Amino acid sequence: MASPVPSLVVGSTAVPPRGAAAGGRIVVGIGEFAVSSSPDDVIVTHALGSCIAVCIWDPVVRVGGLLHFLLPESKINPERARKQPATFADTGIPLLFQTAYASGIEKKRCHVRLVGGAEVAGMQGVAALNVGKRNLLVARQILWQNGVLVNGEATGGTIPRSVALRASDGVVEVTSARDVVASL
Amino acid sequence: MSLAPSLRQMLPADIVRGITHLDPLPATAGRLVAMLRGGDESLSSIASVMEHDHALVASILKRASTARFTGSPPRSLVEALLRLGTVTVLDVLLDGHLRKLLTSATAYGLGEHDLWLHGAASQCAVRALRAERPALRVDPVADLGALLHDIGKLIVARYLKVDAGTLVAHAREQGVTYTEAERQLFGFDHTLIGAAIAEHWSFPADVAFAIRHHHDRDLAGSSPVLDAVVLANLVAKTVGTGLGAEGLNFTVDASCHRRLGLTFESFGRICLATKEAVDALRAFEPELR
Repeated sequence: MASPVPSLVVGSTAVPPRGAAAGGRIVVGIGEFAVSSSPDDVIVTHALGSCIAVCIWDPVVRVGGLLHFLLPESKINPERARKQPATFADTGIPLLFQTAYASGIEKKRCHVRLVGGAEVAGMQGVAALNVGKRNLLVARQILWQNGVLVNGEATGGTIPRSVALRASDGVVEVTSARDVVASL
Repeated sequence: MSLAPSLRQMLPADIVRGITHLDPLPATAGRLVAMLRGGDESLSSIASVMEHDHALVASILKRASTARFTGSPPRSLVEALLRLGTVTVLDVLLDGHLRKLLTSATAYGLGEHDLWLHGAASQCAVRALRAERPALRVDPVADLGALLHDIGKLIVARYLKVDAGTLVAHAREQGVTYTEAERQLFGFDHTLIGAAIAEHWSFPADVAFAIRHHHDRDLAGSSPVLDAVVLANLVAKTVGTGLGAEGLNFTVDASCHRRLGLTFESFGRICLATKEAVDALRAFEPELR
């Protein structure tokens, strides 16, 4: 008999831990992701500076997922990418989607929102240290190459951000220093 | 310990009082600082002062027993001090001292542990830089500069009851960085206070210089220690510590990474190593999560 699909998947690796209680606030750290089909769940992440949160939600199955990645490409440290693929855009984004497919998400129905990718003030011309911009470019490229449309963004600038994704209706609320700065 | 007249003139009287009345460093730390500055203190005399503080001795012995130092326990406190070196011993001391001092810093949107964690993460970043670019031979004093680079925020938090929203709004309206907003609203900023604290505690001039200038836009006269501290602050912010209300609204000297010989990939590896170290800190201390 096939095992039932869990309502919540949280992790940072290719084999995520399972079984967290449904109906709560799921906090995703840097280099982690979560997928939930429980309508009472809110997936949140904090301390988004140059990091990016990729938020996905399918309105038909009402499943939501959130990835908080640190750096754009796994070639920076392939060993770390094997241990913690959610650290990088190019290993984390596929992992997020693959995990969400198991919960019934379909790519063509997915609402995708990107949040974060801030840049240090006055550093726009310094490619070597401009993590935010690179993170954003690589995330957009991966999604575009896989035929996934980005439906909304709260990216760039210098502000820190926190994100809350409601699994019930897919609303993504973005806050900075306690003020709501975007609802996507 | 005194405050340099030049710094004293640049700060309001109540802030100067705040600095000079700041909890003094433990006696042992003062003697270690004297050693760093070329004084004639001996390790055995420092050990004799230190041995009465059992918690401190336990921390020193624990640190000196790690695999990095051959894995076997040291046979004496003096041997532990020799293994660790002056700066690392001072790190252990300051770590405990700072934890007692630091509180939430509402002007920066930082909670009780955030300021300390950001300093610790910056210190981890300097170590990661040293591992990534051993040829730079980054001076151990840079570890102290990184740990203390935002210590000025402590005094701002204690003496200026300002909400972060005021600084955020001013920075946004005037199109300036958070540090520039501090200068425009208060007449000084946390780097000036931090340098004054470093002088008050008699830290080496390199440390005070790095604290004073870590947000400068053009570091034409930079030092290797300052470059390391500038990078460490950026790395610690990149891995999500100390963002508070400021976020990334600060400046970094654009040529700092060139002087340190960093590419995007090497910068990324330093970020990863720092994040791993911060995760380890958080794993042992639930209040940091």
